[in-house]
Amino acid sequence: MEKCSTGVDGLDILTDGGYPCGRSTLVFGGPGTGKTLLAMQGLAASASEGEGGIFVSFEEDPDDIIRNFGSFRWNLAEHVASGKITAVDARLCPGTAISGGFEIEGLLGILAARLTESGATRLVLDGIDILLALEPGKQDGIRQLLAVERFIRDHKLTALITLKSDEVGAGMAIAPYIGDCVISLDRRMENDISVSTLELVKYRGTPTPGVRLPVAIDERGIALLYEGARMVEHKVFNDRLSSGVARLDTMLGGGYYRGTTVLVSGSPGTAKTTLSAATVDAACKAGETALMVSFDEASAQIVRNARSVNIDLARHVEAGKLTMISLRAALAPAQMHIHHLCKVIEDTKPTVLVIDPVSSLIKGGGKSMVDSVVQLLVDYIKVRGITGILTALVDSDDPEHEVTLTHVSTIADTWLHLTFVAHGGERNRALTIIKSRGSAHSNQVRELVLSSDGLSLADVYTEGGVVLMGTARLEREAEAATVRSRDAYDIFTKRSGEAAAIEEAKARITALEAEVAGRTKALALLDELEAKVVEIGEERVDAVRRSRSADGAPKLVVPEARR
Amino acid sequence: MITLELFIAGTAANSSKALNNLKRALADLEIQVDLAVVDVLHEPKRAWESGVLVTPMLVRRAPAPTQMLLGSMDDVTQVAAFIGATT
Repeated sequence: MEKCSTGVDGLDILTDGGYPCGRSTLVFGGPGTGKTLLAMQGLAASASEGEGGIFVSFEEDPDDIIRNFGSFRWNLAEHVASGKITAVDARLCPGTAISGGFEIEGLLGILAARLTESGATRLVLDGIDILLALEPGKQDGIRQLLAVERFIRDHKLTALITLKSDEVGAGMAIAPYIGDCVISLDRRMENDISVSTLELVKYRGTPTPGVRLPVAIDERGIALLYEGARMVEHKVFNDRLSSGVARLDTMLGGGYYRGTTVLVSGSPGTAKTTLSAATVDAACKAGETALMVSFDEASAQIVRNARSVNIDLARHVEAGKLTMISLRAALAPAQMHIHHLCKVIEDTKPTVLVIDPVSSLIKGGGKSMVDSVVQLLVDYIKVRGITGILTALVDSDDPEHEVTLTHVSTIADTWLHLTFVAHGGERNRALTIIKSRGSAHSNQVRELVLSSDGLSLADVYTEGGVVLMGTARLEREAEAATVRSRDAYDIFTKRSGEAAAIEEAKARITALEAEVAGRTKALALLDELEAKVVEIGEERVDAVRRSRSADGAPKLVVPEARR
Repeated sequence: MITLELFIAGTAANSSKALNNLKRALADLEIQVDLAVVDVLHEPKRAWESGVLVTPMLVRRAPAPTQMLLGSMDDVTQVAAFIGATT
């Protein structure tokens, strides 16, 4: 089936190309849901492509419509002036009396002539239910709608018919069956903020995703936040970005993977913003481009507060590496904020994005809407390989039961949770890594310490399975220091004793060696003496022998008889 | 002088009914009117320029102000009231 652009990027993706060409599309919606806007936007888009269209208004003065839509960037006035768009006032003159039934064939005849004359192939019948409601019989309304549908088919017009949704209940229930494509627009109040949505109810020959999508309105008209089922197109990286806290990087196995989404949840005052600022600071220092979006807190204040923990964000802003914007959450629905953000992202092209806190968006629409909007945002940044830091404010210390987080936490690749741990009359900040996809990460609860030197995670001291923090940790640290110094003293003492003993032993060795030397000397003298004694002894024997008239050497004379 | 224009869509049911009903009403009233019947399928431009898009539509051009009556005009009294100077 040939398709024609709707003039809304997201809707072109949703419808896999646009409205069915040469067929009718029905648009249902209550007051102020953007039916007329959607219809005129399509005409303006086709007029820009050189395709003419006729806009038949049954409800509003077409001149008013053109004037009101003049603020959109469609060059509507030019298209009307050049004849590409013809606006027709099909309202009944005020005071027109009604008597009996009427038929649509006259109108269709007039339109046919007009279409032939102008060569237009696009048609909008805006608020046709106003006219059909004047029919005395309900069936007549349907009959005329069928005639319109046949006319559109016969003339191969790409047509949009808008109807009020409440008319569906009032006898027009059959209407959605008539169009080849049916779109439902809705608007409801959530937390005093109007939330607009669009649903592709049916599309003959094209699968419908069956989701109600958030609608935003900007200077291009209706914007549908829909990127399609592009999950697989998320960019995946192997390099990591520092969290800005050295020990946290270690706990995460090296930091956050580029292109992943990090959820930092915590109750008020747990340093979610400061932790985000630390990441931004580290990223900017590493040459990344960052965008920091704050809800309900002025950028200047964040810069000042970060400075107190030795983080200089102003420097990065001046260097053009960091863009900081501050928004008031409750002033617009979530989808408008996100749509605005997507545009800022396009302009600034950051590689790191902080939304602080993403939970503020709930002020601009209910949970379900925020969930889908956050999902869209996460998809949007992941497709672009942007690392996202989303902070979330929780009111309890039990994040698992915090309903506002359930969806965001599912989407996030890494989830850090910050809490206050009350112990011994004080509250200390504790950081837990609840999950970190694809990283071997520490499961230990750590104390996050903010000081004028920056952010750090304190040393771990556990006691009875509890990680000690604050004063308890300091006490334990002091205690440990005491133990260490006592041990050191003992060792010193023992070491000194041993050293002295060695010296003593050495001295003894010297003395013994001296004794050995002395005695060796004495022994030598004795040997000498002994030799002398022997010598003297022999001399004496000789002398005796000589004195006894023996000569020569003394001889032992053995008597013969004894032989 | 009363000037009337009746815009019809060829032989469409309500248009035919309207033409018949109008003729009957005019006969009953026994007044002189200047009636022009415009078939929008033949003269779409005339209808377009008159701001008439839905048929059958009876337009009373004179006496001023211009008044319009939409429909098959089944209620003869209503039609008479619309045409006549009684309004």
